[in-house]
Amino acid sequence: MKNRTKLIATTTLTALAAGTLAFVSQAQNAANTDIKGEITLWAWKDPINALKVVDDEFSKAFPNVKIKYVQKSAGDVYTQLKLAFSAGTGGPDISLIEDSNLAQYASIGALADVTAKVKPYLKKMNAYKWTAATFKNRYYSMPWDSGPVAMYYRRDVFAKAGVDPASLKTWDAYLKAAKTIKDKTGVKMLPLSKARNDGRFFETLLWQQGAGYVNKAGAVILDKDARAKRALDLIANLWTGDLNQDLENWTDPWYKAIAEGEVATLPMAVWMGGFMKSWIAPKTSGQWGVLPLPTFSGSRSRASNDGGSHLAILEQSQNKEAAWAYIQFHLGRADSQLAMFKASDLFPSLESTYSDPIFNEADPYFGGQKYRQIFADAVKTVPTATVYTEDYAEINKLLSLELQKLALGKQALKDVLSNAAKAIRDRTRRP
Amino acid sequence: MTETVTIRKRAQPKKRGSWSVYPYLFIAPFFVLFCVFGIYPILFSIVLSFQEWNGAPGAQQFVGLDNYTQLLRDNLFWESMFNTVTIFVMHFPIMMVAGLGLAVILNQNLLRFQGLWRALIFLPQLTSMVAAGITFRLIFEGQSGIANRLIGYFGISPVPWLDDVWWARVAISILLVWAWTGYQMVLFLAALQNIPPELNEAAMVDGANRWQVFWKITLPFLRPVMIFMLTVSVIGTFALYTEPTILTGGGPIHSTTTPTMEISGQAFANLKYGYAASLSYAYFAVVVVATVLQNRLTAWRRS
Repeated sequence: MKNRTKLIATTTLTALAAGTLAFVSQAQNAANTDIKGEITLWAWKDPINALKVVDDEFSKAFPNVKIKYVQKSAGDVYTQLKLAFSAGTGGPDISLIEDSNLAQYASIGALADVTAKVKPYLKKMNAYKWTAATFKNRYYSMPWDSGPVAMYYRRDVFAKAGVDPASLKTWDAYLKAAKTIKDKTGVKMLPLSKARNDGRFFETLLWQQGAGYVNKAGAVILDKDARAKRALDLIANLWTGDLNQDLENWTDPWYKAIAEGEVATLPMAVWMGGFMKSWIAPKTSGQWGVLPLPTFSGSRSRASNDGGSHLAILEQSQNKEAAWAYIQFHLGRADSQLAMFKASDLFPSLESTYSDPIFNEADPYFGGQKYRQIFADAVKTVPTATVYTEDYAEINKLLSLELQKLALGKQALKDVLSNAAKAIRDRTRRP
Repeated sequence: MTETVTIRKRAQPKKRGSWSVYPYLFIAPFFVLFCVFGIYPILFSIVLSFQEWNGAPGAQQFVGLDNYTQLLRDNLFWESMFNTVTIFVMHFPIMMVAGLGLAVILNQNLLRFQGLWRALIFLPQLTSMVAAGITFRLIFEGQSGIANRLIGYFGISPVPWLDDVWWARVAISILLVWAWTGYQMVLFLAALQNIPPELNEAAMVDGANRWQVFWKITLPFLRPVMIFMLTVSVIGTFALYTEPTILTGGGPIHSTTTPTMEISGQAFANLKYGYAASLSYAYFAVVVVATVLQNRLTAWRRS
């Protein structure tokens, strides 16, 4: 009965939403011929393929704007943006930039201030996304996709060990389950590199508790905040309990461990599900499930974020008006974002998309779970945290070094955070 | 007829003090490029090393000696110097002895298919270091890598090639020995073939055995080429970039990060161009001192 009412409600809502969308798109159907010119966009392969899906619609709405895509590797995009900026010429009008790299470009003045333009979207996008787009209270980019984190788990491994996945409500329960699973099946709980740890999992755990490396005022908190201590303790416990597969992220043995059931869980972002389905572990269909993250004591948050990206206009651009028209059309409209989501698995930051039926589709890869809905629920509760600062690359590197020292027994657990904080303060001149 | 006359005229030696623009025009391309891509960046870096700059046009700020005082207590930078020294000590002697041994064997006409052997040994030199780095990564990877499986057949327990501070340096040294031994061999071969055979024959007639000939005649003849190799290898090891970047990413715990990796990281990841420039000059100074010392030592040995 309950379900039925829910169904009716959902249908009505969807119909309503569709109606509104149709109305909006009709309003936009009147082609804008005033904005014209050619604009260039730099990005890597998958996002370009996603953006192109919307281009037919875009050229109907803006027949005089031509878009030129330049495909580069992410590393090349980042380096060449810096070189073009220093040279004063040679950059694109628009570039794809990940959240983790955004603030650096904003801080040096490479990006155009779009504060007035994004105002209407501040409430429409995931609120936490704007932290990375902001530098000194001005906005420099438009959010595209979000990286809400949840817990992927192997149904078969959990069943074999007799562990109920729903019992993973706290990280303590997670550690306990990890021991049971290891004892009963020999499978390790998750892949987590020791000597080559990149700090990303530590970051995810910080973010889950609403903390970053620094606070809002920019002061380093690692050695002063209990949340950082809790994140580190969890990692240390996983290592000392030998509950992890010691594998570096994005290497062949790591892919193999995931594909062949050598790890029971993956606390990772929504994009990982797309990668697993399409190329990392396509043969494990039906064996995976998704849960919200376990909580830390003293916090209720069951969501975190890892990665995500934005489109930004370069300060050098000679045609910022056309560039903004492009960005607004591709990222600001639910139609466009949904079309790109269906084509590419880039999870939209635009919250009005979450009412689309695609979020209610049962996915056989995840054992018939509505896994997109779990991430849509998670993304709305991701806390705001200052992780991706203008000196993020340096801070992340310095922290990773201290984690690696701990992993290799070259440093005591109690010294990790104070040494990391000291190194970061020393090199970034932060308080 | 007129043509030959003009040619003759031009061919006549010029008077002293007379000046023509053409010779300078002909050598100009090199000097123009050298000035733009060589001299200018070198001078610009000197200026930059006294500044703070995040890459924004016109945003350089003069900071005096700040960068240099900072680098004196930059443990990551001095660690990268130390890493290089250990990697050099690990790979250079092996590479030199192996190169010499292979050259001596291939110089004695004992083997069939000499050309083939030489080509095979030299082949790694022609391989892209990126491709080689990726391949070696697979070889050294964790438990399942070929290296660990291979030593497993002999009952040796797996080695944490890329997960231990010292083994990671060993892994890089192995890659360097693989890549550069062929090059050393070719240099040794050229030097060996320059030794006049009469000398060896004369020594043999005087009653020297093969071993004595090698120590008293061959090796002294090879000394110049060895000094050359030493110098080039010291400079080359300090400038290592591609190999560790691909094989270890500079880790674990910074243990295989070289000065050039540290400099490029400060410049392009952290946008501290001024500081990176000062690191470059400190690095340059260390390499110059090392090279001069080396020349002194080898000169002293000669006398």
